[in-house]
Amino acid sequence: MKVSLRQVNDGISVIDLEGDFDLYSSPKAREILLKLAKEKAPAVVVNLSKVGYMDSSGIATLIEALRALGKYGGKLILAGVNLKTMEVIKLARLEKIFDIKENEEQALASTKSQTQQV
Amino acid sequence: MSNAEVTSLIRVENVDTHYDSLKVLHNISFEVQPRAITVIMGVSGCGKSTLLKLLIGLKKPTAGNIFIDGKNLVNMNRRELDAFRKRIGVLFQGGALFNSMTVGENIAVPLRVHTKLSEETIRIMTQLKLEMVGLAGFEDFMPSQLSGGMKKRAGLARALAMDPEILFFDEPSSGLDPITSAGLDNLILKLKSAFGMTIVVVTHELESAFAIADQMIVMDKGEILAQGTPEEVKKSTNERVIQFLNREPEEKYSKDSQFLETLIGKI
Repeated sequence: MKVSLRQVNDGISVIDLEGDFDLYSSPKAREILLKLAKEKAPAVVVNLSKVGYMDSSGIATLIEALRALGKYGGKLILAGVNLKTMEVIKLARLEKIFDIKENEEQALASTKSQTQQV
Repeated sequence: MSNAEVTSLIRVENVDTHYDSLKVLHNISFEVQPRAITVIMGVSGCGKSTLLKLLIGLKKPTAGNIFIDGKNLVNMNRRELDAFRKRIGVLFQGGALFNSMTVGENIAVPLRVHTKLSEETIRIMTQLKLEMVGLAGFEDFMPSQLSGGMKKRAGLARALAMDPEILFFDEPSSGLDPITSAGLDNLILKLKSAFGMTIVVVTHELESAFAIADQMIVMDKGEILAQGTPEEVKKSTNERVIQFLNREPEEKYSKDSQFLETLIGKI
């Protein structure tokens, strides 16, 4: 899986994942997510639109990131979740735990509105 | 080597198997399609559990071939067999848990041995798998503290630990109450749909078989009597298949003269 990190405005980070988010690739995504949490990134958008397959190690990685960011009030937003990936999230009954937006644009917009509310 | 169809994930060709001199499987041939549920059915002792042992590489056939992705399982060396086994999960009849480990440790074992995942990731994955099988919160229990049905579900959680590409079930419903059994059928369907798993189920439970199967194989006395979609199997004109599907009792085992022969020798 290809994992790349972009910084957009207001310190928001976007992680683009491309390929299979599975047992063999999830440690790479975990390393970046936990590094951002350590740096107290205010919000991280994980763009899953190019993920073909996600297994439970992918889900576990996202849960760990959600908890690590949540400890200091940081946000984790999932964007571009395709139907297959959504089924995996629903199988683990986590659709209400994750903040899921249709695409990156909406995810970034939601971080702005959250900042304005504060 | 025969050409295995690219469309099938598993292709069994003309397989015979013996236990000593007793032939238990005769000329078995069928295919398992990827991302589908194949149910192997038959009465107790028909050879279906032996067939499962062949499919997971625990036993070698005395004749014939078993292709996995076009590669012959029968000729695989130890390294190739290990690689194949990382792709599969197996739920054995009794759950087959390690009794000296907690339920959580049982599920974590394959992840610790075969992956480089962090302990935290493994811990969360273990919780997810236990939630999926309805055993959330039981990670610190010992297998001896679980009921038979709970052991089976814990065994399923362990079979799912590595998110296997192919999942094998040996009599998943046996020993489970009807509600748990229906819940397990539902979970099997969800696993196929969400993870795209290829699932092979060995069972004699008709209701469960028809609830989940895309493809069915009906066996009797070591032979395949019928195979196809559930609708095709239902239309089979084979007397033994009709008898099995209609749950008709077995004919008297043998004629009186045969029975007496088994007791006192040739009359």
